[in-house]
Amino acid sequence: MVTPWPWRRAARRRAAEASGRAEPASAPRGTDGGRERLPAGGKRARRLPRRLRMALVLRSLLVQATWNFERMQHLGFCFAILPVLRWAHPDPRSPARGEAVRRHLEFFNTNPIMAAAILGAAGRLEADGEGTAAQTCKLSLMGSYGAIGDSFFWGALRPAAGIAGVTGGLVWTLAGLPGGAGGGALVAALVALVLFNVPALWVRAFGVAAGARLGIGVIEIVRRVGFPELTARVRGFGAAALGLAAAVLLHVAAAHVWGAAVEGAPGGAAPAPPAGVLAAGYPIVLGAVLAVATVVARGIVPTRLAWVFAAAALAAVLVV
Amino acid sequence: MTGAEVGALALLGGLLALDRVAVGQFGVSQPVVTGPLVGWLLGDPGTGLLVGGLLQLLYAGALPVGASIPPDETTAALVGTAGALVGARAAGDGVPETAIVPVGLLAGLAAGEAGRALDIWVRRANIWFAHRADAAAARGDDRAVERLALGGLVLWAVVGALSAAVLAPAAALVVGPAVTAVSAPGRTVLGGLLLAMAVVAFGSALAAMRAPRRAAIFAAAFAVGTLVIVAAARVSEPW
Repeated sequence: MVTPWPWRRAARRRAAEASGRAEPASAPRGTDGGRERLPAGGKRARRLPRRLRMALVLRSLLVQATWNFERMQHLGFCFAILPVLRWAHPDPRSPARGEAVRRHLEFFNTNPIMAAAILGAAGRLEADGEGTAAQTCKLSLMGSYGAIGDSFFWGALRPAAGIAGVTGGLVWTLAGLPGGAGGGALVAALVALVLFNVPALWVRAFGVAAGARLGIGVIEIVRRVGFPELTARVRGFGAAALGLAAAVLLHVAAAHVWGAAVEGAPGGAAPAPPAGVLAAGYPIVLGAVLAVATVVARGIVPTRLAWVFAAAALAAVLVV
Repeated sequence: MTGAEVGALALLGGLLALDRVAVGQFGVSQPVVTGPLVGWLLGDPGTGLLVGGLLQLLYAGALPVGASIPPDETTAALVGTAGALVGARAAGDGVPETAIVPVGLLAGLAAGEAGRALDIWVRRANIWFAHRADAAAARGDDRAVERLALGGLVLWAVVGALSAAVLAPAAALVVGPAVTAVSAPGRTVLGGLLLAMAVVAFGSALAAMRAPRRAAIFAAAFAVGTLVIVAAARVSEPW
């Protein structure tokens, strides 16, 4: 029987283990471009057991649990790595364990999704008995991982997924697909959640695995993924989805305005506007949206812009 | 607004506050998800999608980067949707949705600022757990460190639940009477405000998509979408 591809590597590893050969993950050290060193004292490092890697993935979800202005994600990181520290120092009274716990209560902050890879790497180094290296690893990775992760996950993937959700919900509602507006709301929520969470959860799981395998060498992985190009591409997708949403909303708004102009009453069953109305509305809306985008890109906060319009509307309401 | 609705909103607010920062960041607390959730609770997911969708676009560029704390878009969506829906109930059938939604959105924006202040307060209060954890680590009690590391969860959930339970009914109390007091031409002005806020929201989201040629991509997709809608309308009801 052919093993499906995602499980092939695991099957190969099991076969290698069964035949007594060393698995690739714990291959002799010092042979990998100098990235992996022998642990202090020359004793063979232990591979993190599956149970601990799973614990790191699950606990990485809580890395911001008690985020605070003093040391930011430090408590969450310490919480997440504690199972590894207990495994590496089984005696709860040992000074080494207390020292390790205090080490991970130092300042730490990065992107919470990328934190998983740092957890894997620091966990691996702690298990190897290299506590100082674990600390150096955290400090050297958190800045670049924070910048890359924030701009990809917070600055591109999550807003683009949210925009795609809005677009999906509007298209579903306008096209009269099952459920009407309720169905559209469900589609919007599902699209936004799935598009964001599939990559985010994958990066968490893969990050812990890669960190536990490579230690500090996990930085190479990020370079290979090519986040800057991916960020630009996801944002382009977001801009395209936004254009489709604008088309749907223009149609709905034109139907409202057209309905009010034809029948003299807003709301109700508005007749569809002729193509000419949409053709006239397109350049106006496009110009307005591009103007707002330019102003916002120059540093004007959009909510403040909304309040300015609200103040103008209030003045108009008081006058009419 | 019934007591059961306030209770359900408080529970939802607590869970969403956890998702937003402390637990998993799965994005259930994004307005485009929160709006429909509140809409289902109060019986009108479509309005939830409208309010949540517009807030999603408006806040698209407000990022939690480093130590900067953005407005609380979750509280904004929860309060904005509840304000619009319960406000519409209070205003009755005569008032069009296009007049109520912009007022609900404004209530949401105000709640978002209040939520930011509460968020900052929780992140300050969490320092207390950090110092307790230091003391626990010094005496070698890592069970206590583990417990204290989760202290922020309780704080965030309680503050999220309380702010939802207070701000949502408050918004509902304001929105309904405010829109009822407005004259018929004034309601048309509010419809115009909704359009203006939608344009601001789209511009804000486009600015957040800092990609090369984003304006061209947006304009092209907008044109293609409009053409498809016109063609589809021709097919279904030819003039």
